[in-house]
Amino acid sequence: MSRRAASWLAALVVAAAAFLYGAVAEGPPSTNADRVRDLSEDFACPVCAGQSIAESDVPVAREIRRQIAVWVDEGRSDAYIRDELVAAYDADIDYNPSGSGVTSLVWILPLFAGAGIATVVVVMLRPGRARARDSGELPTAGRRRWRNAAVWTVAVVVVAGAAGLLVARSSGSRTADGSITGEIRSTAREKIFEAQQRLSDGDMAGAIAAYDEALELQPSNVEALTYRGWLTSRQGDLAGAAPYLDDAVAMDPAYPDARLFRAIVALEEGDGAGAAQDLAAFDSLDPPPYAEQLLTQSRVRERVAEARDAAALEAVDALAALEERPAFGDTALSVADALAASEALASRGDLLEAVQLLDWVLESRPADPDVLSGRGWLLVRSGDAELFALGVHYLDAALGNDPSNASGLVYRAFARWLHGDTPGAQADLAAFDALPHQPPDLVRLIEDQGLRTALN
Amino acid sequence: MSASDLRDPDTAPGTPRPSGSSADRWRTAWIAVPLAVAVALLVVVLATRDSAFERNASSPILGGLAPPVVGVTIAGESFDLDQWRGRWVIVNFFQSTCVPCIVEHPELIAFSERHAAAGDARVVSVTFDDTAENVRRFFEVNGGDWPVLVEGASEAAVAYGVTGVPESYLVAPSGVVVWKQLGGVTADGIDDVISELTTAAATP
Amino acid sequence: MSNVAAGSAAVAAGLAAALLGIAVTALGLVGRYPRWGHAARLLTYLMAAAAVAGVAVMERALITRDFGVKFVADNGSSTTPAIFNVATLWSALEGSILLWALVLCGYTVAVAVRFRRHRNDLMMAWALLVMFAVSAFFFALMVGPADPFIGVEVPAGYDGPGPNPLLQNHILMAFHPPILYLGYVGFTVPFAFAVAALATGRLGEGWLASTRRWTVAAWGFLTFGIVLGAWWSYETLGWGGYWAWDPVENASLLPWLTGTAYLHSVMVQERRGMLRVWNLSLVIATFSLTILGTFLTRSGVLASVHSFTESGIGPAILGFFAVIVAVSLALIAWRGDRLRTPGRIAAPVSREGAFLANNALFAAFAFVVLLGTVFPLLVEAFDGRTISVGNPYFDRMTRPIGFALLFLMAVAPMLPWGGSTRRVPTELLDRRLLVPAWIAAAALVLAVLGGARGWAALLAFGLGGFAGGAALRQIVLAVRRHRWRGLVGRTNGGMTVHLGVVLVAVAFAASQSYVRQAEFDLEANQQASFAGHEIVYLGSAVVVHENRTERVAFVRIDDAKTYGPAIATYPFASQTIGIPSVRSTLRDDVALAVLSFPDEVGPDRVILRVTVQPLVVWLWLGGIVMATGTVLSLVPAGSGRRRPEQVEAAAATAEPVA
Repeated sequence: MSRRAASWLAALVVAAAAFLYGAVAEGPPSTNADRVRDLSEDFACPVCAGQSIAESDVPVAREIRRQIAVWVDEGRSDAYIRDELVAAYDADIDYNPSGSGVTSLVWILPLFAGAGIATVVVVMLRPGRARARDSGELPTAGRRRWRNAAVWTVAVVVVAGAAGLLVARSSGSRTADGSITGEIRSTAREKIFEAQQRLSDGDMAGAIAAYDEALELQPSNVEALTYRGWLTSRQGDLAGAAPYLDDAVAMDPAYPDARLFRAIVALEEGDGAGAAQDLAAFDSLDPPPYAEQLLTQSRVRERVAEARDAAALEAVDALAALEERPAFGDTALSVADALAASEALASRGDLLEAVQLLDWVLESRPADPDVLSGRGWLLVRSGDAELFALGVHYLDAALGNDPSNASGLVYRAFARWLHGDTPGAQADLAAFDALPHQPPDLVRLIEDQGLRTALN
Repeated sequence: MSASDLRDPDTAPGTPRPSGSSADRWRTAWIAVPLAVAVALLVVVLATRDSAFERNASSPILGGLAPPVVGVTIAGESFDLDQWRGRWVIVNFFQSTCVPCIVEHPELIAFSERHAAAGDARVVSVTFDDTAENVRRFFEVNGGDWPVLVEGASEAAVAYGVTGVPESYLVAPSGVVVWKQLGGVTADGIDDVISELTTAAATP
Repeated sequence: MSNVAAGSAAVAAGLAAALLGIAVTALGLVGRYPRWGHAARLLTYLMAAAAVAGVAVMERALITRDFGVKFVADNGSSTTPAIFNVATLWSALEGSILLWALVLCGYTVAVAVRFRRHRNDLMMAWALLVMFAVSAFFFALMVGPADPFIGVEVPAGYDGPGPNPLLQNHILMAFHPPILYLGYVGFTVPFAFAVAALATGRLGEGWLASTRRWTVAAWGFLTFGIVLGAWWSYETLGWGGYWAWDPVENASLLPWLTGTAYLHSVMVQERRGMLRVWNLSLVIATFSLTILGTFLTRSGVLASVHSFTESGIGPAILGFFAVIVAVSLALIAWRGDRLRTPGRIAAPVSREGAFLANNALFAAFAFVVLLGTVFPLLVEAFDGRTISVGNPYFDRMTRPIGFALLFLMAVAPMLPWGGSTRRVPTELLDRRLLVPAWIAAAALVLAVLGGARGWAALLAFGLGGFAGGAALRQIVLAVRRHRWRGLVGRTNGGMTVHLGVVLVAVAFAASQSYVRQAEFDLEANQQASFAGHEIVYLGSAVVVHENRTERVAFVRIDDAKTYGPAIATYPFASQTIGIPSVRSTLRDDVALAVLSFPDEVGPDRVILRVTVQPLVVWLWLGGIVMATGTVLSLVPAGSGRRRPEQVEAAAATAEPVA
């Protein structure tokens, strides 16, 4: 081996060793900030002409950088981040053209061009050409020459095309596959959305299936639980519906839809008390308009009231059937039950019985303002002038015991209004309005009777 | 190698060779014609493009499920847009220092108040590239009692593809993003959109 | 005389002179006017005087803040600092066309004077005709859609907005555009001679020899202009980037690529009389691409930070581009028979073979860049979708080409001209490439010891060492043989340019591969350490300038100097822009950019973005070396060589007029 050859060998060995070591060895770990910067360079700032997110300093670029940093800290893949940005800002935010469809041409065409240029160069350097030029004749007969050219052209085109597709595949940005990296939450949302659309198309079975899929992805999804239960009950399976709705309420007691659906199901099962509870909870929430609509349509409020009245009457009748009626305090009845029963008695015409019932309650609870005002209200509505005066007396007594008794205030306002005492009625109504909490049934009573408009 | 790149004196400069002149002319044309076609195509494409300044950015999220708006408001409460399903919701992105946002604000207040009683439409504001302190002051000065998202705001802004402020999206009761407004909204404008969409839905 | 009237008169005079010039040279060509040469030269003087007058009037209007001129009212401001006030001329469309016209007139005069001895040569008539026509086009733009001298009534006390804040915060803005224009416009000269050669049928090497220095000079200006532009964006945008594959940047790169290819392939034609069509095509492509770039920059079709706002001149420039390409292609097709190559390349491994490969690579490079730049428009036209093509595409597609070019840069200068032999000069390469190979190995070892990792960057360093070693070897040998004369002349100057290219390539690879960036939220006197640097935020101060208010963050780096990145608010633009501050050393740069001061309540705080990038300075140094090399290559390479005039004379008389 000559000295020069040895020197060449040494140089190559040194270079190759250094290169391989440097190419294989671990570099300093790249930080999340580095990755954020690299990613930022690959996306276009949506509002700034021709600048990347990394370059631009406009607010949107800052926000996107911030969000990319969040994603990077969460350990998201590049493909995931790309998908999220494209979903929000459209494909032109991505500086990396897609490797499929029309845009793959941007990857493929350069390879065709390169192949074409290389072919020209090779043809120019072909030894046959030089010889042909020298001898002034063509190397082969015309036909064969054409065939050769055609074969070569096809070969070059095929090779370039294949290489181009390969480059496009490996370089063009691809989307993350399905839900593997996808966020569970958004996928469950999408399933719920799909279920809603199926429902609006009348495809109840499909909707149930979609809700089931949503629940598979996120078993604690309240919306899916609620509607899954609701749809089950609409198919007549009340027992099957209950667990879903119970879960939903347990998960989020403040979800109005679940309360409403459970109330309806309870009514259908004959559980008036349960329905009343859910309705009360529903009223304390802030339900959306469609829920209110459904409530009115399915007469939930009326049916709950009917059920409560019926239950109260049943209890009172049962007591009446006893030989010796126990004191109210010894029964399991509540004041609300008693009031409901008295209202029910009054509405079926047994005013006297109703009054007697409350008197019985007053024996145990002589100072209860609700009972006093309830008794007063029965009398005020009797139509008899004497009883009217007595009723007002009871109302005064109730408010004497508790000046902020809501029912007392409302009933007396009605009484004073009927009596022509508009300022007094207005004062009572104002006092009611000033209360921290207005019971919804009283509010409805005022609205139904048009008291407020009558007083103004 | 120094200065050895002089022209070969033996290369006769540009003596045309009489042989094969027509074939050569054809060969040149073979290249010139496709090239001319390609350039002509390029010119046509360039000539028919709108100005980049006029190209309107359409939003890919229109017509799809509203991206999540989840986070914590300046009042310190948690917020989730999904809990407002069943109502029309204006998702308003704003910045306390942006003048059009200040101009727009009374309209949002009007819209919010108009629908407060019926409860059929609501507003949620999402801060954009701003600090909680500035936003709190903004709402103290300009009014408005709807939730204002501070935590999770970047996520929401990027998920909606917000490009600048103010920018508003209308989410239908079904949870679909149905309308987008770059720049300030007006209360009447939003109501027009809502009633248009409602009547369109009512008359299939 | 008002500035508007004077300026309009100057532009009109320029147009008239250009049109007269066309008429005179055309008459000369058909033989109706034998004294055309003299008249044409006088007309170039007149035209240039008009352009100078136009620019002078505009500068006077800018300096005296004559807001009666619309251009000044739109772009000037009483508070713009003096240097940027002068530079305001090229900060907006109309003024930039005016500057273009001035440079073009300068070149036209230079051509007319330089070749005055050939005043009766019809080739000269054609060349001047082309230059008059191009000048006429630009003057017509200023008479029509890009009129810089529109009068306007402004209320008393009116003050203009000033140029875009980004264009008035760095001194480089005063130099980058004019130098770039000197490059762009300079390619008009070889183009004019190429058309002349085609028209007269004198397709030999005469026109090449005549325009060689002009082309080299234009190429040098373009190169330096591009480097200055990158430098400017690095200094002003503050994110550690200097090249973003922005459409307008690509538009300047395209003519550079074809121009570089031409500078190499022209040697094949000079030496061996080959590649005639190819060289003509490259010259025409280079000029056409400058016009296409002008269209892309000024029509608003492609969005770019550098682009001027929308204007009506897009269709005019596009039409001009179409005419240039159509005429040139028609001429080439018409002269197809005479373009027949008399020589041939027999040896693949030879100097001419290497130039061929070089040209193939540059052509592929240009294709990739052009395709990537216009592809979004094509997709939108045919598919209706909007897409973007940017950094990832260009990086991936151009990187292999860059490697191949570096390799060629090492090997090609060592190769002998092949002539008719096909023998591979193994012995020669063996001898000549050994030292470069050792330099490459040394570069690799140094890089790895310095902590460089990753195959792409290392490959760039190794090939850079190889190519740099080859260039150095050539320079050293030449200097040994000819002393200082070994540095000048085309070959040796070219080697200096190669050295500059290697510096740029290595710096590019290093700064792209090993950039580190982080954002810090710092309170006053808080310290952060990042990528081996200690950064202390000392506090901030508000500085009120005449045209802006700055809040400056004082940041000390490595216990040494204090730097002041700032956020500036310009009242007219109602826009805040960051003013970064960069500490440069030969080893690495620390770029500081203030993202915000989030301290409306509470203590003095700053959100600071710190970018640490190795070897960035070498980009600019490489650019300077390239410019120096260009100058060196323009210096005649010593005694005993033919003077250019002799060459031209020989070439001009070598062939009869077609």
